[in-house]
Amino acid sequence: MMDTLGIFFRSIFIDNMVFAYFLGMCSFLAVSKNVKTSFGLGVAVTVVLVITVPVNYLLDKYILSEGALSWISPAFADVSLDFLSFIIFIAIIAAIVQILEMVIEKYSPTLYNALGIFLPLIAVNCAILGASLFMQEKHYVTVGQSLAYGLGSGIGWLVAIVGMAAIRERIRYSKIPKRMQGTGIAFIITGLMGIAFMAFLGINI
Amino acid sequence: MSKNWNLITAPLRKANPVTVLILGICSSLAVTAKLKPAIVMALSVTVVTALSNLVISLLRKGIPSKIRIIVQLIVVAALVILVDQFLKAFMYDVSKQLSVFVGLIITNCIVMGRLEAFAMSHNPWESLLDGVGNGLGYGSILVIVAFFREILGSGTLLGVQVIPQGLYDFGYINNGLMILPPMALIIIGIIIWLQKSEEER
Amino acid sequence: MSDRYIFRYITILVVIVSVLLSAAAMWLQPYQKRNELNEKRVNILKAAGITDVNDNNAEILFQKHCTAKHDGNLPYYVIDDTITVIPMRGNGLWGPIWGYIGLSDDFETVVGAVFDHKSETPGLGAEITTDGFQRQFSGKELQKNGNDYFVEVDAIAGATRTSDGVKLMIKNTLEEYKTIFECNE
Repeated sequence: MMDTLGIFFRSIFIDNMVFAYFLGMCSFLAVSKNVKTSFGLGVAVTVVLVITVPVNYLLDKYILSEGALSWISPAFADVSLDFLSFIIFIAIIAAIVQILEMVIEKYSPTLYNALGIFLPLIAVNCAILGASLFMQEKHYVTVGQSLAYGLGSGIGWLVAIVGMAAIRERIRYSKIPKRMQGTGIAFIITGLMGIAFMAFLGINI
Repeated sequence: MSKNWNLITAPLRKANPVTVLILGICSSLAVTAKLKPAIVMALSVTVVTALSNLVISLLRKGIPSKIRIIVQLIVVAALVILVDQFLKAFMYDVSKQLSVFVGLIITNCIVMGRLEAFAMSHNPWESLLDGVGNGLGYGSILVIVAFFREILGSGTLLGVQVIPQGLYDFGYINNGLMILPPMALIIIGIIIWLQKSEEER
Repeated sequence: MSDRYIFRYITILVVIVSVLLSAAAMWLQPYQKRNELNEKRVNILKAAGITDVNDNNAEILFQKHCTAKHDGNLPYYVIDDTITVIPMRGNGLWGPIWGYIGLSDDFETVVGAVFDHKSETPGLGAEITTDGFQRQFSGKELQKNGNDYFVEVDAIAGATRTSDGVKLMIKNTLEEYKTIFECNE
Protein backbone atom coordinates (compact mmCIF):
# COMPACT_ATOMS: atom_id res chain seq x y z
CA MET A 1 0.00 0.00 0.00
CA MET A 2 2.78 2.40 0.98
CA ASP A 3 4.42 1.56 -2.29
CA THR A 4 1.35 2.43 -4.31
CA LEU A 5 0.99 5.73 -2.48
CA GLY A 6 4.67 6.42 -3.05
CA ILE A 7 4.30 5.82 -6.78
CA PHE A 8 1.33 8.18 -6.83
CA PHE A 9 3.14 11.10 -5.19
CA ARG A 10 6.39 10.44 -7.00
CA SER A 11 4.68 10.66 -10.35
CA ILE A 12 3.00 13.96 -9.48
CA PHE A 13 6.00 15.82 -8.12
CA ILE A 14 9.28 14.10 -8.82
CA ASP A 15 8.77 12.28 -12.10
CA ASN A 16 6.51 15.05 -13.39
CA MET A 17 5.67 14.37 -17.04
CA VAL A 18 6.25 17.94 -18.14
CA PHE A 19 9.16 19.08 -16.04
CA ALA A 20 11.21 15.92 -15.80
CA TYR A 21 10.54 14.35 -19.20
CA PHE A 22 9.13 17.19 -21.37
CA LEU A 23 6.17 15.04 -22.32
CA GLY A 24 2.99 16.56 -23.66
CA MET A 25 4.73 19.83 -24.45
CA CYS A 26 2.89 20.58 -27.68
CA SER A 27 -0.53 20.86 -26.15
CA PHE A 28 1.03 22.20 -22.95
CA LEU A 29 2.32 25.26 -24.77
CA ALA A 30 -0.58 25.64 -27.16
CA VAL A 31 -3.45 25.41 -24.68
CA SER A 32 -1.97 27.03 -21.58
CA LYS A 33 -3.22 30.49 -22.45
CA ASN A 34 -6.04 30.56 -19.95
CA VAL A 35 -6.72 28.63 -16.80
CA LYS A 36 -10.18 27.38 -17.69
CA THR A 37 -9.30 25.55 -20.90
CA SER A 38 -6.09 24.29 -19.36
CA PHE A 39 -8.02 22.76 -16.52
CA GLY A 40 -10.36 21.06 -18.99
CA LEU A 41 -7.52 19.61 -21.00
CA GLY A 42 -5.70 18.58 -17.84
CA VAL A 43 -8.74 16.68 -16.63
CA ALA A 44 -9.15 15.03 -20.03
CA VAL A 45 -5.51 13.94 -20.02
CA THR A 46 -5.87 12.58 -16.48
CA VAL A 47 -8.98 10.61 -17.40
CA VAL A 48 -7.30 9.15 -20.48
CA LEU A 49 -4.20 8.21 -18.47
CA VAL A 50 -6.24 6.58 -15.72
CA ILE A 51 -7.89 4.33 -18.30
CA THR A 52 -5.03 3.65 -20.69
CA VAL A 53 -2.16 2.93 -18.29
CA PRO A 54 -3.87 0.03 -16.46
CA VAL A 55 -5.28 -1.36 -19.72
CA ASN A 56 -1.85 -1.30 -21.31
CA TYR A 57 -0.39 -2.75 -18.13
CA LEU A 58 -2.66 -5.77 -18.40
CA LEU A 59 -1.88 -6.15 -22.10
CA ASP A 60 1.82 -5.98 -21.36
CA LYS A 61 1.61 -8.45 -18.53
CA TYR A 62 -0.58 -11.05 -20.18
CA ILE A 63 0.21 -10.72 -23.88
CA LEU A 64 3.28 -8.74 -24.83
CA SER A 65 6.22 -9.27 -22.51
CA GLU A 66 8.50 -12.26 -22.64
CA GLY A 67 6.82 -15.40 -21.33
CA ALA A 68 3.56 -13.54 -20.85
CA LEU A 69 1.62 -15.92 -23.05
CA SER A 70 2.38 -18.91 -20.86
CA TRP A 71 -1.07 -18.66 -19.32
CA ILE A 72 -2.44 -20.03 -22.60
CA SER A 73 -0.02 -22.87 -22.82
CA PRO A 74 3.46 -23.51 -21.39
CA ALA A 75 4.69 -23.91 -24.95
CA PHE A 76 4.58 -20.14 -25.36
CA ALA A 77 6.92 -19.56 -22.42
CA ASP A 78 9.68 -17.96 -24.45
CA VAL A 79 7.59 -16.10 -26.97
CA SER A 80 8.10 -12.37 -26.64
CA LEU A 81 5.83 -9.98 -28.47
CA ASP A 82 7.67 -7.06 -26.97
CA PHE A 83 8.37 -5.53 -30.37
CA LEU A 84 4.66 -5.01 -30.91
CA SER A 85 4.14 -2.97 -27.77
CA PHE A 86 4.46 0.48 -29.39
CA ILE A 87 1.82 -0.25 -31.98
CA ILE A 88 -0.57 -1.97 -29.57
CA PHE A 89 -0.26 0.76 -26.95
CA ILE A 90 -0.92 3.53 -29.44
CA ALA A 91 -3.86 1.67 -30.96
CA ILE A 92 -5.45 1.20 -27.53
CA ILE A 93 -4.86 4.86 -26.70
CA ALA A 94 -6.35 6.04 -29.99
CA ALA A 95 -9.42 3.88 -29.47
CA ILE A 96 -9.98 5.05 -25.90
CA VAL A 97 -9.55 8.70 -26.87
CA GLN A 98 -12.05 8.25 -29.70
CA ILE A 99 -14.64 6.83 -27.32
CA LEU A 100 -13.99 9.55 -24.77
CA GLU A 101 -14.38 12.19 -27.45
CA MET A 102 -17.78 10.86 -28.43
CA VAL A 103 -18.89 10.76 -24.81
CA ILE A 104 -17.79 14.33 -24.10
CA GLU A 105 -19.41 15.57 -27.28
CA LYS A 106 -22.66 14.01 -26.23
CA TYR A 107 -22.78 15.06 -22.59
CA SER A 108 -20.87 18.34 -22.42
CA PRO A 109 -20.97 20.37 -25.63
CA THR A 110 -19.44 23.36 -23.83
CA LEU A 111 -16.35 21.44 -22.84
CA TYR A 112 -16.25 19.95 -26.30
CA ASN A 113 -16.30 23.39 -27.88
CA ALA A 114 -13.69 24.71 -25.50
CA LEU A 115 -11.22 21.97 -26.23
CA GLY A 116 -11.91 22.07 -29.96
CA ILE A 117 -9.18 20.50 -31.98
CA PHE A 118 -7.15 19.45 -28.97
CA LEU A 119 -9.20 16.41 -28.11
CA PRO A 120 -8.01 14.41 -31.11
CA LEU A 121 -4.52 15.66 -30.26
CA ILE A 122 -4.70 13.83 -26.94
CA ALA A 123 -4.20 10.59 -28.88
CA VAL A 124 -0.84 11.85 -30.03
CA ASN A 125 -0.07 13.60 -26.75
CA CYS A 126 3.34 12.28 -25.83
CA ALA A 127 2.43 12.23 -22.16
CA ILE A 128 -0.16 9.53 -22.80
CA LEU A 129 2.04 7.13 -24.75
CA GLY A 130 4.98 8.12 -22.57
CA ALA A 131 3.15 7.07 -19.41
CA SER A 132 2.45 3.65 -20.89
CA LEU A 133 6.04 3.20 -22.00
CA PHE A 134 7.46 4.28 -18.63
CA MET A 135 4.94 2.00 -16.94
CA GLN A 136 6.26 -0.88 -19.05
CA GLU A 137 9.84 -0.01 -18.16
CA LYS A 138 9.20 0.27 -14.43
CA HIS A 139 7.85 -3.28 -14.08
CA TYR A 140 5.03 -2.57 -11.67
CA VAL A 141 3.78 -5.55 -9.76
CA THR A 142 0.06 -4.88 -9.46
CA VAL A 143 -2.68 -3.20 -11.49
CA GLY A 144 -3.15 -0.87 -8.53
CA GLN A 145 0.38 0.44 -8.90
CA SER A 146 -0.07 1.10 -12.60
CA LEU A 147 -3.35 2.84 -11.82
CA ALA A 148 -1.59 5.00 -9.21
CA TYR A 149 1.05 5.83 -11.76
CA GLY A 150 -1.50 6.79 -14.40
CA LEU A 151 -3.51 8.93 -11.99
CA GLY A 152 -0.41 10.58 -10.53
CA SER A 153 1.06 11.39 -13.94
CA GLY A 154 -2.25 12.87 -15.04
CA ILE A 155 -2.54 15.05 -11.96
CA GLY A 156 1.10 16.07 -12.33
CA TRP A 157 0.38 17.17 -15.88
CA LEU A 158 -2.77 18.98 -14.76
CA VAL A 159 -0.87 20.83 -12.03
CA ALA A 160 1.81 21.82 -14.52
CA ILE A 161 -0.54 23.15 -17.19
CA VAL A 162 -2.83 25.02 -14.79
CA GLY A 163 0.18 26.61 -13.09
CA MET A 164 1.58 27.58 -16.44
CA ALA A 165 -1.73 29.07 -17.59
CA ALA A 166 -2.02 31.11 -14.40
CA ILE A 167 1.45 32.53 -14.92
CA ARG A 168 0.73 33.30 -18.55
CA GLU A 169 -2.49 35.11 -17.64
CA ARG A 170 -0.52 37.34 -15.32
CA ILE A 171 2.38 37.85 -17.63
CA ARG A 172 0.21 39.66 -20.13
CA TYR A 173 0.60 42.74 -17.98
CA SER A 174 4.35 42.53 -17.59
CA LYS A 175 7.01 44.13 -19.68
CA ILE A 176 8.78 41.45 -21.64
CA PRO A 177 11.36 42.16 -24.33
CA LYS A 178 9.38 42.34 -27.55
CA ARG A 179 11.06 39.46 -29.32
CA MET A 180 10.81 37.28 -26.27
CA GLN A 181 7.02 37.55 -26.12
CA GLY A 182 4.83 34.54 -26.77
CA THR A 183 6.64 31.29 -27.21
CA GLY A 184 10.09 32.42 -26.19
CA ILE A 185 9.05 33.45 -22.71
CA ALA A 186 6.76 30.41 -22.44
CA PHE A 187 9.74 28.09 -22.83
CA ILE A 188 11.73 29.99 -20.28
CA ILE A 189 8.87 29.96 -17.77
CA THR A 190 8.54 26.22 -18.23
CA GLY A 191 12.24 25.85 -17.60
CA LEU A 192 12.05 27.92 -14.42
CA MET A 193 9.04 25.97 -13.19
CA GLY A 194 11.03 22.82 -13.88
CA ILE A 195 13.87 24.09 -11.72
CA ALA A 196 11.37 24.90 -8.96
CA PHE A 197 9.99 21.36 -9.17
CA MET A 198 13.49 19.97 -8.76
CA ALA A 199 13.17 20.98 -5.12
CA PHE A 200 11.10 17.83 -4.69
CA LEU A 201 13.99 15.76 -5.96
CA GLY A 202 15.60 15.11 -2.61
CA ILE A 203 12.42 13.79 -1.06
CA ASN A 204 12.55 10.06 -0.64
CA ILE A 205 9.13 8.51 -1.08
CA MET B 1 14.10 22.41 -58.64
CA SER B 2 14.30 25.48 -56.45
CA LYS B 3 10.81 24.77 -55.20
CA ASN B 4 11.84 21.29 -54.15
CA TRP B 5 15.00 22.63 -52.60
CA ASN B 6 12.86 25.04 -50.65
CA LEU B 7 10.92 22.11 -49.18
CA ILE B 8 14.10 21.02 -47.44
CA THR B 9 15.51 24.39 -46.45
CA ALA B 10 12.38 26.19 -45.24
CA PRO B 11 11.91 23.96 -42.18
CA LEU B 12 15.49 24.60 -41.16
CA ARG B 13 14.82 28.26 -40.39
CA LYS B 14 11.68 30.11 -41.46
CA ALA B 15 9.25 27.29 -40.83
CA ASN B 16 11.26 25.44 -38.24
CA PRO B 17 8.92 22.93 -36.65
CA VAL B 18 10.30 23.46 -33.15
CA THR B 19 11.00 27.14 -32.79
CA VAL B 20 8.37 28.57 -35.11
CA LEU B 21 5.56 26.03 -35.19
CA ILE B 22 6.20 24.75 -31.63
CA LEU B 23 5.72 21.13 -32.56
CA GLY B 24 7.38 18.02 -31.33
CA ILE B 25 9.36 19.35 -28.44
CA CYS B 26 7.80 16.66 -26.37
CA SER B 27 9.55 13.47 -26.87
CA SER B 28 13.16 14.24 -27.22
CA LEU B 29 14.55 17.05 -25.18
CA ALA B 30 15.34 14.62 -22.42
CA VAL B 31 17.97 13.10 -24.71
CA THR B 32 19.86 16.35 -25.26
CA ALA B 33 22.14 16.22 -22.22
CA LYS B 34 24.80 14.66 -24.44
CA LEU B 35 25.49 15.21 -28.13
CA LYS B 36 25.68 11.61 -29.33
CA PRO B 37 22.20 10.44 -28.35
CA ALA B 38 20.84 13.74 -29.68
CA ILE B 39 22.38 13.10 -33.10
CA VAL B 40 21.05 9.56 -33.23
CA MET B 41 17.64 10.81 -32.15
CA ALA B 42 17.72 13.52 -34.83
CA LEU B 43 18.55 10.97 -37.53
CA SER B 44 15.88 8.55 -36.28
CA VAL B 45 13.24 11.27 -36.37
CA THR B 46 14.36 12.30 -39.87
CA VAL B 47 14.10 8.72 -41.12
CA VAL B 48 10.65 8.33 -39.60
CA THR B 49 9.25 11.64 -40.90
CA ALA B 50 10.68 11.08 -44.38
CA LEU B 51 9.51 7.49 -44.78
CA SER B 52 6.11 7.99 -43.18
CA ASN B 53 5.52 11.02 -45.40
CA LEU B 54 6.48 8.91 -48.42
CA VAL B 55 4.31 5.94 -47.49
CA ILE B 56 1.25 8.04 -46.63
CA SER B 57 1.67 10.06 -49.81
CA LEU B 58 1.74 6.85 -51.85
CA LEU B 59 -1.37 5.59 -50.09
CA ARG B 60 -3.15 8.95 -49.96
CA LYS B 61 -5.71 8.25 -52.71
CA GLY B 62 -6.83 4.97 -51.19
CA ILE B 63 -7.01 5.90 -47.52
CA PRO B 64 -10.62 6.10 -46.36
CA SER B 65 -10.86 9.53 -44.76
CA LYS B 66 -12.85 8.25 -41.77
CA ILE B 67 -9.97 6.17 -40.50
CA ARG B 68 -7.04 8.17 -41.80
CA ILE B 69 -5.66 9.00 -38.35
CA ILE B 70 -5.58 5.32 -37.44
CA VAL B 71 -3.88 4.45 -40.75
CA GLN B 72 -1.30 7.17 -40.16
CA LEU B 73 -0.66 5.96 -36.63
CA ILE B 74 -0.18 2.39 -37.80
CA VAL B 75 2.32 3.41 -40.47
CA VAL B 76 4.26 5.66 -38.09
CA ALA B 77 4.24 3.11 -35.27
CA ALA B 78 5.49 0.38 -37.62
CA LEU B 79 8.35 2.57 -38.85
CA VAL B 80 9.30 3.54 -35.31
CA ILE B 81 9.35 -0.11 -34.25
CA LEU B 82 11.69 -0.85 -37.16
CA VAL B 83 14.01 2.00 -36.15
CA ASP B 84 13.94 0.85 -32.53
CA GLN B 85 14.73 -2.76 -33.45
CA PHE B 86 17.55 -1.58 -35.70
CA LEU B 87 19.10 0.55 -32.99
CA LYS B 88 18.85 -2.29 -30.49
CA ALA B 89 20.56 -4.64 -32.92
CA PHE B 90 23.31 -2.42 -34.30
CA MET B 91 23.75 0.56 -31.96
CA TYR B 92 23.10 -1.07 -28.64
CA ASP B 93 24.77 1.46 -26.35
CA VAL B 94 22.95 4.43 -27.87
CA SER B 95 19.64 2.60 -27.85
CA LYS B 96 20.07 2.09 -24.13
CA GLN B 97 20.54 5.82 -23.60
CA LEU B 98 17.51 6.68 -25.71
CA SER B 99 15.36 4.05 -23.95
CA VAL B 100 11.67 4.86 -24.24
CA PHE B 101 12.27 8.06 -26.15
CA VAL B 102 12.57 6.18 -29.44
CA GLY B 103 9.03 4.92 -28.91
CA LEU B 104 7.89 8.45 -28.26
CA ILE B 105 8.75 9.42 -31.84
CA ILE B 106 5.31 7.98 -32.62
CA THR B 107 3.66 10.79 -30.74
CA ASN B 108 6.07 13.42 -31.95
CA CYS B 109 3.66 16.03 -33.25
CA ILE B 110 5.92 16.81 -36.20
CA VAL B 111 5.43 13.39 -37.71
CA MET B 112 1.65 13.37 -37.53
CA GLY B 113 1.49 17.09 -38.26
CA ARG B 114 3.38 16.75 -41.54
CA LEU B 115 1.29 13.74 -42.57
CA GLU B 116 -1.92 15.68 -42.12
CA ALA B 117 -0.71 19.00 -43.44
CA PHE B 118 1.49 17.88 -46.31
CA ALA B 119 1.66 14.22 -47.28
CA MET B 120 -2.11 13.79 -47.63
CA SER B 121 -2.16 16.37 -50.42
CA HIS B 122 1.21 16.20 -52.19
CA ASN B 123 3.02 13.75 -54.43
CA PRO B 124 5.45 11.21 -52.99
CA TRP B 125 8.69 12.94 -54.04
CA GLU B 126 7.68 16.29 -52.56
CA SER B 127 6.46 14.57 -49.43
CA LEU B 128 9.73 12.75 -49.00
CA LEU B 129 11.66 16.02 -49.28
CA ASP B 130 9.29 17.74 -46.89
CA GLY B 131 9.81 14.93 -44.41
CA VAL B 132 13.59 15.13 -44.69
CA GLY B 133 13.48 18.91 -44.28
CA ASN B 134 11.29 18.81 -41.20
CA GLY B 135 13.25 15.99 -39.66
CA LEU B 136 16.46 17.96 -40.14
CA GLY B 137 14.90 21.20 -38.92
CA TYR B 138 13.88 19.41 -35.76
CA GLY B 139 17.19 17.60 -35.49
CA SER B 140 19.17 20.81 -35.88
CA ILE B 141 17.52 22.24 -32.76
CA LEU B 142 18.21 19.04 -30.83
CA VAL B 143 21.85 19.13 -31.86
CA ILE B 144 22.28 22.82 -31.01
CA VAL B 145 20.73 22.33 -27.58
CA ALA B 146 22.79 19.19 -26.94
CA PHE B 147 25.97 20.98 -28.07
CA PHE B 148 25.59 23.71 -25.46
CA ARG B 149 24.42 21.38 -22.73
CA GLU B 150 27.30 18.97 -23.20
CA ILE B 151 30.07 21.53 -23.59
CA LEU B 152 28.93 23.72 -20.70
CA GLY B 153 27.63 20.93 -18.50
CA SER B 154 30.32 18.29 -18.90
CA GLY B 155 33.13 20.08 -20.75
CA THR B 156 33.05 17.41 -23.43
CA LEU B 157 31.75 16.99 -26.97
CA LEU B 158 30.73 13.52 -28.15
CA GLY B 159 32.41 12.29 -24.97
CA VAL B 160 35.80 13.85 -25.85
CA GLN B 161 37.16 16.40 -23.40
CA VAL B 162 37.35 19.79 -25.16
CA ILE B 163 37.66 22.26 -22.31
CA PRO B 164 41.39 22.18 -21.55
CA GLN B 165 42.59 21.02 -18.15
CA GLY B 166 44.39 24.34 -17.74
CA LEU B 167 41.09 26.14 -17.47
CA TYR B 168 39.97 23.86 -14.66
CA ASP B 169 43.24 24.55 -12.89
CA PHE B 170 42.30 28.21 -12.95
CA GLY B 171 39.15 27.35 -11.09
CA TYR B 172 36.69 26.83 -13.95
CA ILE B 173 34.03 24.27 -13.12
CA ASN B 174 31.40 22.59 -15.24
CA ASN B 175 27.96 24.07 -14.90
CA GLY B 176 25.94 21.24 -13.37
CA LEU B 177 22.70 23.10 -14.02
CA MET B 178 23.12 22.64 -17.78
CA ILE B 179 22.75 18.91 -17.40
CA LEU B 180 19.42 19.14 -15.63
CA PRO B 181 16.35 18.90 -17.89
CA PRO B 182 14.91 22.42 -17.40
CA MET B 183 17.94 24.04 -19.03
CA ALA B 184 16.98 22.51 -22.37
CA LEU B 185 13.80 24.59 -22.35
CA ILE B 186 15.63 27.75 -21.42
CA ILE B 187 18.11 27.21 -24.26
CA ILE B 188 15.24 26.80 -26.72
CA GLY B 189 13.70 29.99 -25.38
CA ILE B 190 16.94 31.78 -26.15
CA ILE B 191 17.17 30.24 -29.63
CA ILE B 192 13.65 31.46 -30.39
CA TRP B 193 14.60 34.92 -29.17
CA LEU B 194 17.68 35.06 -31.40
CA GLN B 195 15.76 33.76 -34.38
CA LYS B 196 13.02 36.34 -33.96
CA SER B 197 15.49 39.17 -33.58
CA GLU B 198 17.30 38.13 -36.71
CA GLU B 199 14.13 37.87 -38.76
CA GLU B 200 13.03 41.35 -37.82
CA ARG B 201 16.28 42.84 -38.89
CA MET C 1 -16.46 4.86 -49.49
CA SER C 2 -18.35 1.93 -48.08
CA ASP C 3 -17.78 0.33 -44.73
CA ARG C 4 -16.75 -2.82 -46.50
CA TYR C 5 -13.95 -0.98 -48.24
CA ILE C 6 -12.76 0.49 -44.95
CA PHE C 7 -12.84 -2.89 -43.29
CA ARG C 8 -10.94 -4.56 -46.12
CA TYR C 9 -8.41 -1.72 -46.24
CA ILE C 10 -7.57 -1.82 -42.57
CA THR C 11 -7.37 -5.63 -42.52
CA ILE C 12 -4.90 -5.70 -45.40
CA LEU C 13 -2.86 -2.91 -43.82
CA VAL C 14 -2.69 -4.64 -40.47
CA VAL C 15 -1.68 -7.96 -42.06
CA ILE C 16 1.09 -6.33 -44.11
CA VAL C 17 2.41 -4.39 -41.13
CA SER C 18 2.40 -7.36 -38.79
CA VAL C 19 4.16 -9.61 -41.32
CA LEU C 20 6.78 -6.93 -41.89
CA LEU C 21 7.37 -6.33 -38.20
CA SER C 22 7.54 -10.00 -37.32
CA ALA C 23 10.03 -10.60 -40.12
CA ALA C 24 12.19 -7.72 -38.90
CA ALA C 25 11.99 -8.89 -35.31
CA MET C 26 12.99 -12.43 -36.24
CA TRP C 27 15.86 -11.20 -38.37
CA LEU C 28 17.21 -8.78 -35.78
CA GLN C 29 16.62 -10.77 -32.62
CA PRO C 30 19.87 -12.80 -32.78
CA TYR C 31 21.84 -9.54 -32.99
CA GLN C 32 19.95 -8.04 -30.06
CA LYS C 33 20.40 -11.17 -27.94
CA ARG C 34 24.09 -11.17 -28.78
CA ASN C 35 24.42 -7.53 -27.78
CA GLU C 36 22.83 -8.19 -24.40
CA LEU C 37 25.03 -11.22 -23.77
CA ASN C 38 28.16 -9.45 -24.91
CA GLU C 39 27.44 -6.52 -22.67
CA LYS C 40 27.26 -8.88 -19.71
CA ARG C 41 30.50 -10.60 -20.73
CA VAL C 42 32.34 -7.32 -21.22
CA ASN C 43 31.16 -6.14 -17.80
CA ILE C 44 32.25 -9.32 -16.04
CA LEU C 45 35.68 -9.27 -17.69
CA LYS C 46 36.14 -5.59 -16.90
CA ALA C 47 35.24 -6.17 -13.28
CA ALA C 48 37.95 -8.82 -13.23
CA GLY C 49 40.47 -6.19 -14.23
CA ILE C 50 40.80 -7.20 -17.88
CA THR C 51 40.64 -3.83 -19.59
CA ASP C 52 41.16 -4.48 -23.29
CA VAL C 53 37.82 -6.14 -23.93
CA ASN C 54 35.35 -4.97 -26.52
CA ASP C 55 32.29 -6.31 -28.25
CA ASN C 56 34.37 -8.28 -30.73
CA ASN C 57 36.65 -10.26 -28.47
CA ALA C 58 34.33 -10.58 -25.48
CA GLU C 59 32.95 -13.95 -26.47
CA ILE C 60 36.37 -15.57 -27.01
CA LEU C 61 37.92 -14.07 -23.89
CA PHE C 62 34.93 -15.01 -21.80
CA GLN C 63 35.05 -18.64 -22.86
CA LYS C 64 38.79 -18.78 -22.30
CA HIS C 65 38.93 -17.26 -18.83
CA CYS C 66 35.57 -17.49 -17.23
CA THR C 67 33.57 -20.17 -15.45
CA ALA C 68 30.10 -19.54 -14.19
CA LYS C 69 29.41 -20.97 -10.74
CA HIS C 70 26.72 -20.66 -8.16
CA ASP C 71 26.24 -21.02 -4.46
CA GLY C 72 22.70 -22.09 -3.80
CA ASN C 73 20.91 -19.71 -6.11
CA LEU C 74 23.54 -16.98 -5.96
CA PRO C 75 25.38 -16.87 -9.26
CA TYR C 76 28.98 -15.72 -9.53
CA TYR C 77 31.86 -16.04 -11.97
CA VAL C 78 35.43 -17.19 -11.47
CA ILE C 79 38.10 -15.84 -13.82
CA ASP C 80 41.30 -17.85 -14.30
CA ASP C 81 40.56 -19.66 -11.01
CA THR C 82 41.66 -16.60 -9.06
CA ILE C 83 39.30 -13.67 -9.34
CA THR C 84 35.70 -13.90 -8.24
CA VAL C 85 33.19 -11.62 -9.94
CA ILE C 86 29.90 -11.05 -8.16
CA PRO C 87 26.82 -9.47 -9.75
CA MET C 88 25.17 -6.64 -7.82
CA ARG C 89 21.74 -5.03 -7.79
CA GLY C 90 20.54 -1.95 -5.98
CA ASN C 91 18.74 1.35 -6.21
CA GLY C 92 20.00 4.74 -7.30
CA LEU C 93 18.10 7.97 -7.09
CA TRP C 94 15.64 7.44 -9.94
CA GLY C 95 15.63 3.74 -10.51
CA PRO C 96 17.57 0.51 -10.37
CA ILE C 97 21.36 0.38 -10.63
CA TRP C 98 23.44 -2.75 -11.08
CA GLY C 99 26.96 -3.88 -11.75
CA TYR C 100 29.70 -6.39 -11.07
CA ILE C 101 32.49 -6.35 -8.55
CA GLY C 102 35.66 -8.42 -8.88
CA LEU C 103 37.53 -9.68 -5.80
CA SER C 104 41.05 -11.09 -5.54
CA ASP C 105 41.58 -14.73 -4.56
CA ASP C 106 42.17 -13.92 -0.90
CA PHE C 107 39.03 -11.77 -0.95
CA GLU C 108 40.93 -8.87 0.55
CA THR C 109 41.15 -6.44 -2.34
CA VAL C 110 38.81 -5.29 -5.05
CA VAL C 111 40.16 -5.95 -8.55
CA GLY C 112 37.64 -3.86 -10.40
CA ALA C 113 34.01 -2.84 -10.61
CA VAL C 114 31.53 -1.83 -13.28
CA PHE C 115 28.19 -0.14 -12.83
CA ASP C 116 25.21 0.60 -14.95
CA HIS C 117 21.87 2.23 -14.36
CA LYS C 118 18.43 2.64 -15.80
CA SER C 119 17.62 6.31 -15.35
CA GLU C 120 20.13 8.26 -13.29
CA THR C 121 20.63 11.91 -14.23
CA PRO C 122 23.00 12.21 -17.20
CA GLY C 123 26.21 13.93 -16.14
CA LEU C 124 25.51 13.43 -12.42
CA GLY C 125 24.37 10.03 -11.21
CA ALA C 126 24.98 8.56 -14.64
CA GLU C 127 28.70 9.19 -14.15
CA ILE C 128 28.87 5.87 -12.30
CA THR C 129 29.20 4.24 -15.70
CA THR C 130 32.37 6.17 -16.58
CA ASP C 131 35.89 4.79 -16.31
CA GLY C 132 36.82 7.69 -14.07
CA PHE C 133 34.43 6.57 -11.36
CA GLN C 134 35.01 2.85 -11.83
CA ARG C 135 38.81 3.03 -11.90
CA GLN C 136 39.01 4.10 -8.26
CA PHE C 137 37.74 0.69 -7.18
CA SER C 138 40.66 -1.35 -8.46
CA GLY C 139 43.20 -2.05 -5.74
CA LYS C 140 40.88 -0.86 -2.98
CA GLU C 141 41.00 -2.88 0.19
CA LEU C 142 37.90 -4.68 1.30
CA GLN C 143 37.28 -3.39 4.79
CA LYS C 144 35.36 -4.94 7.61
CA ASN C 145 33.31 -3.17 10.20
CA GLY C 146 31.79 -5.63 12.62
CA ASN C 147 29.95 -7.97 10.30
CA ASP C 148 29.70 -5.54 7.39
CA TYR C 149 32.08 -5.50 4.50
CA PHE C 150 32.46 -2.23 2.69
CA VAL C 151 34.69 -0.34 0.28
CA GLU C 152 35.78 3.25 0.83
CA VAL C 153 34.98 5.29 -2.29
CA ASP C 154 34.68 8.93 -3.28
CA ALA C 155 31.16 10.09 -3.99
CA ILE C 156 30.36 11.91 -7.22
CA ALA C 157 29.90 15.62 -6.66
CA GLY C 158 26.24 16.51 -6.98
CA ALA C 159 25.10 12.92 -7.02
CA THR C 160 25.15 11.95 -3.36
CA ARG C 161 22.05 9.79 -3.60
CA THR C 162 23.38 7.71 -6.45
CA SER C 163 26.78 7.34 -4.77
CA ASP C 164 25.10 6.24 -1.54
CA GLY C 165 23.09 3.77 -3.61
CA VAL C 166 26.33 2.33 -4.99
CA LYS C 167 27.83 1.96 -1.52
CA LEU C 168 24.71 0.35 -0.13
CA MET C 169 24.54 -1.99 -3.11
CA ILE C 170 28.12 -3.16 -2.54
CA LYS C 171 27.52 -3.65 1.18
CA ASN C 172 24.30 -5.60 0.67
CA THR C 173 25.78 -7.77 -2.05
CA LEU C 174 28.86 -8.68 -0.04
CA GLU C 175 26.61 -9.45 2.92
CA GLU C 176 24.59 -11.77 0.75
CA TYR C 177 27.62 -13.55 -0.71
CA LYS C 178 29.46 -13.77 2.61
CA THR C 179 29.34 -17.55 2.60
CA ILE C 180 31.48 -17.86 -0.55
CA PHE C 181 34.42 -16.02 0.75
CA GLU C 182 34.20 -16.95 4.35
CA CYS C 183 34.45 -20.65 3.61
CA ASN C 184 37.35 -19.95 1.28
CA GLU C 185 39.27 -18.01 3.86
